Amino acid sequence: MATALPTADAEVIERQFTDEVVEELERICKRYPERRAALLPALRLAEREFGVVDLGGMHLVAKHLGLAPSYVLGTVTFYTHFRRETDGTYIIELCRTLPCALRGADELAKHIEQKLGVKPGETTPDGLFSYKSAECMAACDKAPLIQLNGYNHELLTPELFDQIVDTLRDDPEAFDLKGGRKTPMAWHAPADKNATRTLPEGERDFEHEALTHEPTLLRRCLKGEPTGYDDYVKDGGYKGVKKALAMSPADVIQFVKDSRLRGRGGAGFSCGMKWGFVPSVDKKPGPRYLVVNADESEPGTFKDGKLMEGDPHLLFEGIVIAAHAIGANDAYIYIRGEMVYGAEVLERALAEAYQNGVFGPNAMGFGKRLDCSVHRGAGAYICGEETALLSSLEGGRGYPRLKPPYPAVEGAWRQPTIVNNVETICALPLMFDRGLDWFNSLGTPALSAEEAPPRGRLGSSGPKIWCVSGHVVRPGLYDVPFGITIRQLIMDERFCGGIRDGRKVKAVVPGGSSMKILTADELDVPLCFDAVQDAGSSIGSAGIIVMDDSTCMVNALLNVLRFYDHESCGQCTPCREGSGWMTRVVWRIAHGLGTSEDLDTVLRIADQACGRTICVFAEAFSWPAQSYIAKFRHEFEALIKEQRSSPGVCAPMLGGK
Amino acid sequence: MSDAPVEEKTTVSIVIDGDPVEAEPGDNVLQAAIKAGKMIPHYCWHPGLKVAGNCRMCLVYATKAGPPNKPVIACNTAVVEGMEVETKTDRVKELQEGVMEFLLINHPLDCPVCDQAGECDLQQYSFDYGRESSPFVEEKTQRPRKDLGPLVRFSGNRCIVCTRCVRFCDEVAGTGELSVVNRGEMSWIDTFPGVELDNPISACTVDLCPVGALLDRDSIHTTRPWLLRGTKSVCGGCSTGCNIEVDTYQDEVKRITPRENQAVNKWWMCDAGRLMHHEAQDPRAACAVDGQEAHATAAVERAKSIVASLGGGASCAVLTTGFATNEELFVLQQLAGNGPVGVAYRPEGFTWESQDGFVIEADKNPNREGVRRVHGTSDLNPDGVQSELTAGTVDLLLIHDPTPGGSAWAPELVEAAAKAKHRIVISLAPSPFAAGADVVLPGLHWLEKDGTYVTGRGRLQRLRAAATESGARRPDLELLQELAQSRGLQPRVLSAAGVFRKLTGVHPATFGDATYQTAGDAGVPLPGAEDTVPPAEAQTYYPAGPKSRGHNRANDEQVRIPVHRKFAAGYGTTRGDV
Repeated sequence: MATALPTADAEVIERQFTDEVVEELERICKRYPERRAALLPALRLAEREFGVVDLGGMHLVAKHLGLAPSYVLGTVTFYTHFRRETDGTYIIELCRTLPCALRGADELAKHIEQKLGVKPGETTPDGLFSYKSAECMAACDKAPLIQLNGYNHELLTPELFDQIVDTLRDDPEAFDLKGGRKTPMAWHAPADKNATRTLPEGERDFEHEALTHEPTLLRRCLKGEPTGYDDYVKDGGYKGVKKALAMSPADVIQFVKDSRLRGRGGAGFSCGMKWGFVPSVDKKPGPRYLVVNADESEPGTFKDGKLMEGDPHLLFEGIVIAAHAIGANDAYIYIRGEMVYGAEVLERALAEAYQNGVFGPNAMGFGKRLDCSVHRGAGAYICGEETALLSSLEGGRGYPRLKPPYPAVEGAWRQPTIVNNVETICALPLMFDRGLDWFNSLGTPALSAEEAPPRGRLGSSGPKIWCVSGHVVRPGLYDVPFGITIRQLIMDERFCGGIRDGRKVKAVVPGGSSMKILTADELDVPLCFDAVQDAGSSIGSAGIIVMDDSTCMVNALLNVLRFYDHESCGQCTPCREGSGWMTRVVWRIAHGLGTSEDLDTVLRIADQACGRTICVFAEAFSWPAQSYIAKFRHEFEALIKEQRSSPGVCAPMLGGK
Repeated sequence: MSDAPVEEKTTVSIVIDGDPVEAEPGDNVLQAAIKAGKMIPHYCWHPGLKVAGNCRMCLVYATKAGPPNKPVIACNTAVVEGMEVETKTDRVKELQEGVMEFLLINHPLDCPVCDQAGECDLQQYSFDYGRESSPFVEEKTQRPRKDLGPLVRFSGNRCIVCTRCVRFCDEVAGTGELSVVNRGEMSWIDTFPGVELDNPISACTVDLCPVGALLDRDSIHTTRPWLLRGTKSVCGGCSTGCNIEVDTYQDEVKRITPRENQAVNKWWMCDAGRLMHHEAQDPRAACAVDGQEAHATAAVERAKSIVASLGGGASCAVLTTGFATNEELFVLQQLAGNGPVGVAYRPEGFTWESQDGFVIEADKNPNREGVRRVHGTSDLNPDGVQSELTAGTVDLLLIHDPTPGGSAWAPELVEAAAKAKHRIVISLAPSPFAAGADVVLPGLHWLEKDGTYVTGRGRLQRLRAAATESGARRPDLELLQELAQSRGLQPRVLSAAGVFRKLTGVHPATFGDATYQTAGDAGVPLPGAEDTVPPAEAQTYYPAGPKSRGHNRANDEQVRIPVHRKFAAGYGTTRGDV
């Protein structure tokens, strides 16, 4: 959505912070090595104090942080989540991204427009409701959903929506704004401990293992309330960290290397190896930083938010282990701006952790300082890319950075920095508590160079959460080890329960919307890093989006492309221009205006963008386009030939395009 | 292993397109290529700014730079011993064509009404590296057009978001007025409302802009680049002596832009200097004899006869200013003989220093150092002349005032001038000495003169006459030499270079063996100067202003007739020009 910019003659209203707010701001500044990094939190303060982030607020923040006003303007307009002057009292943001669209978000959008009498981006005449089309809220199992002033209202129906609006209109006092409507998490049948099978010699039955697997990562997330410190300790928490702290940092890194833990954020890079890239202090003196990537924003992915909301201390324990390994004294949890509730849970839990000495000058009684803070994003998908995340953490536009240097050598504030996904960090306490044997027994084994030429394979070890959304009976999170096939996971009665309404599966995206799509014939691939890669896709961030045979693939691709067009940071030419161009071509095809050259054009854009940009965003919009067209070309060609619209296409182009 | 000393290699050997290139360690591939005379097309990279790596135009294939067969950007790939770079193969061409296509889809292609056309890198590269057509049929994005500051106009649709201007304001000017706003294809460059792009060197963003997105409001819509005649000169705005290119059309200065000189101004110049050609439009002194308007020839003849009539022992007093060239100062010194010389200076003015050490000097006299080197001291107070005048011992008072707008002469001095037997005035602006003078001759502005100035840091630099106003005005140096000739001091009138040769003969200690040849385009450090950068190092490998500037000028030695690549084969060339 292009930000409505103030015109040159817009009046800058003089604004002032009260002394208390200034004090609060100064406290925030102290968390970072540079004042500039406090920009996003400072803008949040301005938003809280003045109700909006307007020119006056930006100017004031610029003054307090010693920044050029234009820099603040540039940063604010990069993000979508600051309240603007034109916004109403209640901001209703409807998620329009693929998993929600598959479950009726488009129909709900029509209803909302009717009910409120406004188009996306507009505010009702009474100034009460602003309705916005938004991007993935990381609650894809609860689709469709809205965020109302930052709080989720899940599994929404037109009736529920009317109820919310009517209550807010007639009796706002009766409405618990912060309450939201949280629905319980879907969960597979309890582990079947009695199941016994006779296994052929030397073979493993991953389905059986999955069925008998006791949830590990999500164990404490099931009750809907965050697990407090006492409960966490009672349940065996903060034990793994003690074992890790008793080891030398080098031993911890070796331990993690031996565990074969691979990053859960998307790339699947070896965690221990990444840590090993941090240069020694004599080679590069100065502080080291640990940054937890909780900017979960790949459509179809919703595990990190749930983990943090359900079991924040698991994350903290992991942070202490990782910080110990890389020698960091400061850790930052970069959490998505949309996760308002998650950030509140983290802040509360963090205070508790400080009280109990998990963090502080003598963290875990180990004699070293370790501080941890929560840094909220402000609505930009690209900030999930680790270097963009660092740019954003430092208080700038979320621009990915040129590599090399890699963050492990030169990251946040030009110092060695390790950026790890929430789930990766959360696996650490379990790994140290239960040991390497347990960790390696889960998932698929490593293969030597002889077994898998040329370089062997790391395999996929440890616990894993899968996020299943779309047309399955029970979308949700599944704490199931690597190795189970996609078909087993989505079709088995004890997991997702098959496709809803008895329909057939048509296609599955295995790892978040940017990954290449798999057809119904390709579902017997085991869910692990290597096998899915061999099948031409990737498990990415483990966001499994299931589409049934009613899905129009042109419409689905348009939805995906629209998202990436909206989220391109605009830095590199091929991505900035290519994402918009491709979206417009597919928009034409979906609306019955395609020409015979269009598919070639789309593929040409993809070819000209892939591998030619700073980050892999070009791949993120090219891979879906390439794979949707390769595997469902006939659907595109039919629309072009018959010059008809895709059934159900109604998604408005964000940004008015 | 033997302990024989191994000669340490100070360069990195790489291969670019099959040609061996010795690169400096720490250079990137793009730098190494340009230094070796090989152009890799690029937009966002500039040697004076940090690497942004966003335009992707310099994509090449290189060995020893990450995964094999993955294109890398030359601007962020460090040279490694033995690296092999390909920049001209078909697969690289495909990369360049792809980026060009993306850059042009939302570009308005409004070259016919764009001032940058003719010196636009986008236009040039489109020609050199682009495809002939694109399947793009969608609507283009619309981004705003606005004035970012007093000198800079922004046309959003033309912008390729290379962020050179943003980085310039952050890293060089240090003022940070500009920022990229919004994201994706709706990104553009903007200021914070009420905080204009108004720093002392703001118009350098226009030079840096590789396309027509930022244009100089001062010269916008006045001419076309290919009609301009460029003259390499130096700025007379202060003692920094920025190297400039003076662009004229039909003898009128249309704009002034900086030339690169690492010893003086890097790639920059101040906004004030850029606007100085407007001074040349200010009222000039009128040619007069005995207070009556006269023809130039008659006035010169009269002046010559006055000088000729002076006896050998006649005393001559000279007044000049910090704007006089070394050559003028030298002839004036000859004319004065043992008589007193007074030099008037402009008072100190605005001073400023950029983050990268570019300085706008407070000394607003371009040649104070030249006065010091000619006279041994720069402190030649006109009071000395005044006291001699008051004493009534001056036969001829010669006033040479090339300062734009005229020097601020003391009223007492002007009054005392009446006591001289004869008075000749050569002045750029109307002069207070004109009243009662025997002869008044109009002088020229520094933009119109040949000669040399010495920067505050001791670098001798050449002024070249850019605009030779037709009409009555003749160069000051010629007039002064004719007077010297009449006085029997020199047999004939020499060129500025000839006068300078004589000058170095008389003042070898301060001017050394400098000549117009050694000064060249980049200037030369004089003996004892603070600035010791030799000419070869002052002008390196990267121009200020668009790389394609001057490509299409009519007065180029080689006239380029644009021929589309499609048809180029017929002319026996594959390139787009004949």
